[in-house]
Amino acid sequence: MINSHPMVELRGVYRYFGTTKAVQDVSFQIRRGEVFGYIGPNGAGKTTSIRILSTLDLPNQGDAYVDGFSVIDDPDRVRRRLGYMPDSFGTYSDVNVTEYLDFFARSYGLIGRERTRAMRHVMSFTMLDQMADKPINGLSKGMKQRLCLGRAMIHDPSVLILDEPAAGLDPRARIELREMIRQLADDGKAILISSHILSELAEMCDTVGIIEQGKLLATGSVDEIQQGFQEHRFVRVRLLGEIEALTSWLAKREDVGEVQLDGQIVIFAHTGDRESEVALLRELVQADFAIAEFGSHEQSLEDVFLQVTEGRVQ
Amino acid sequence: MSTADIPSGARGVDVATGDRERRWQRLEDWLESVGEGFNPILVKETRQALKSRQFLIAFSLLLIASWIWTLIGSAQIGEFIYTRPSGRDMFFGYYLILLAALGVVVPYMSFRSLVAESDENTYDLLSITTLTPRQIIAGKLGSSIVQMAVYLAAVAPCMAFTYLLRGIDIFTIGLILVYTVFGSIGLSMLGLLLASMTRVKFVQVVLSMAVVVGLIAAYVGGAGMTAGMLRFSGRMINTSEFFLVCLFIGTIYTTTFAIVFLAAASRITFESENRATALRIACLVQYLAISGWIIIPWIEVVDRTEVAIVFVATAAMYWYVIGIFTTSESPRMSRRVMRQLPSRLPFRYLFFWFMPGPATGYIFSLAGVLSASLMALTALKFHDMFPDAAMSRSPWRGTRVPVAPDSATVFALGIICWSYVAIFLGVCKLLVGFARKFTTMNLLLACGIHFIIVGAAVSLPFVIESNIMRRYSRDYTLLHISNPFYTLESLGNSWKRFDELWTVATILACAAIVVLLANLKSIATEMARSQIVAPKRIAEDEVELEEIREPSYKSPWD
Repeated sequence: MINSHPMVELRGVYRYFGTTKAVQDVSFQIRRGEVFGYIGPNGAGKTTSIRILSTLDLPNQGDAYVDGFSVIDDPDRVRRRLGYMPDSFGTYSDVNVTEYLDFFARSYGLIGRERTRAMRHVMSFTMLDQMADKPINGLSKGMKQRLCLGRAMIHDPSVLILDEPAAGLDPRARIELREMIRQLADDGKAILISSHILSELAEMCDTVGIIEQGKLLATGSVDEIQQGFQEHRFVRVRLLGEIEALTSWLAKREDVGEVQLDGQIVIFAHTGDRESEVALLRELVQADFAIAEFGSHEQSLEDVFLQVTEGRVQ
Repeated sequence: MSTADIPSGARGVDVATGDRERRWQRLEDWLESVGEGFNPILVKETRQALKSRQFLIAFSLLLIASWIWTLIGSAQIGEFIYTRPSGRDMFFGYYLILLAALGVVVPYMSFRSLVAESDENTYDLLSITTLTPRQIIAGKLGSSIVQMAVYLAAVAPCMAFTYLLRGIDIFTIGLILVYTVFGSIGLSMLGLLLASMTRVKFVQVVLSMAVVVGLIAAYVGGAGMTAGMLRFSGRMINTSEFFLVCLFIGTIYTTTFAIVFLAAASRITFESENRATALRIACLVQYLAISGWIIIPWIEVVDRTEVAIVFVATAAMYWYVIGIFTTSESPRMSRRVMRQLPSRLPFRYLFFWFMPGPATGYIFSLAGVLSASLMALTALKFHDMFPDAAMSRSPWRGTRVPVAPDSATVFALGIICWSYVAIFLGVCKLLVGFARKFTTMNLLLACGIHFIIVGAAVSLPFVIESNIMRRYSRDYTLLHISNPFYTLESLGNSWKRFDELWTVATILACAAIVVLLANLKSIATEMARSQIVAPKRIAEDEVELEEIREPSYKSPWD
């Protein structure tokens, strides 16, 4: 059955802790197979909204839905569909990897062969097969994160919520985690991932939401957000020949400004989208400028994040 | 190589090995299928316990202590083993060792096991699984019972050995062990309830210390009671009342255990779920079960009016305590609970006091007190139908004459008790509701309000009397009407002062009606709640689940 509703939806969610407004009117949606990056400085309200979505906390106002079920009214149905990986790894003493996964598989009602199959799949997916009998306390940070991811997906949830999954991981483990997440999204899972490592999020996520002081400042695809907050792009042109002719040609145009010279390279601000950049290049060629190099510098997600947020904490 | 090439002897060995392996495999499969039915927490915690250092240390200490006691005890008995019955002393020594494990270690570990979920950051992970809160509590309790069984199995042979030393009968040994095991289960359950009360670190530390102190007190109390039982067991067991007392204790234990279990489960249940109904039903069952026991003093005690007064006053106290919790509930009813309301109007009004909410809880308590008064009055009314029952069955018969029942006094005291409950619960309910507008109210704060109000009502007349009126009389006056304990004590002891009794009853009834009217709006609001239809998505999910669920039984003719 194809679901018409979004897999995750927050509708006007508010959460107060005394006088602190942790989350204010936050709304967004995540569709099946979509990876949503939830970014914001520390204390922005990410974990609070994630906890509400994971049925661990209740909003003061508004509601959140997972696969169409309200986290307030039907947390039991939400929990069947949700895998949650918290930022802090919860571990039991005197338990090995298999026992840990077995416990959670049983806790999600998996029995018999179904449980064995789920555990085998999760251990193979997270590459924990070799560690099956190893005590959890003896696992490295990366392995613990894998185990935590494995635990979150043991009951094959349609929604995964990962709070800072890459924190403290070495570059290799991060790349592997990124691949795993991408693969899970390809399998049709809706994934919400919060992280401070924005470069990774930009590569991994289809959509992002930027939150600060409990308010969602921007939401949409990475490109949309980049475009939305980028007034102009900086175009870099390397010319073979006389540079002054080019600068005077550019100076006449309304869509160009802030022209700077660096030897044979001209850098200028251009207002417009990619199509207008293509048109500009065409015009330059038609005007007989010997263009050796043409490119524009896009703002990275970090740039957008810094531009959107002001670093305020509550 | 074909099978024909294999020597027949070797083939026989292979077949035998194969059969054995298959049998083992079958046994393993069977055990596996049995294990599927176990509570996941029980499975996990049993695995953990078997590997844990605490369990190993506790178990080793238990064995070493038993072994040392065996040596010391045997050395003390020495040559008198054939002449002096020494089983009781030996048993008591082993019992003290076992009690340390069952009465202190196991309940404390039970408390810790739930607290540790917060410490180890696993509570959130556990609570978002599909395990129900009752399964979580039952699993924790189950693992305590498994530990208990292991400790018991280690010391039981030593205890059985004491029977051979004479001086103690097997029935007493069994009885004490049964009491101890149930006591330990009860303490473990209480430990779980306390652990579920809060997740605030500081409060947990305070609670932890309180639990340790409480368990040590329970250990001393348990040891003292057992010493008494050992001393008087023969005389106790042979009395006709013994089994009645056991049954009575059993009634209180079972119903209290159910309430504590449900309370602990409701503490960890998510907020939008109905956390009240099951608890209220359990309280009602306990009330009715204990009320049933009133038949014993009814038969045994000659003055039935006194029995009725004590019954009504005790019931009022009980329903007041229940009311403290029920009137502290949130007035907001979740959509989830509203979906579960009875759809038909008569049922909704008939069962509305079982629904969550402070007003329904208020009515629930008032109905409880009213029922106690009605029960007492009805029993007194039909007293004449069994005029000789008290005399013929009473152990004191022949020496005392039956006292004529005084229904009017019971009626007046019933009004007084009901009014006190209505006033105190009603006022506190209003105050809690008012405070809720400004702050988040939890159970502890609500209990604090009740405590302050009752404390003020009790102490204020004394303060006025001593500081303003400069009067230090011991006589009851109407100034003390706000003090329920003093009022009931004074009027209960001298209820022959009929006029004063009715004056107090009238004043209190008027005040109770005022408070009840002040609460009327919230009562009407909660009563008017009606069932709402579940969203379409729920219906879709139900259909999906129905498709997944396999029929539990399939007819061979299908």
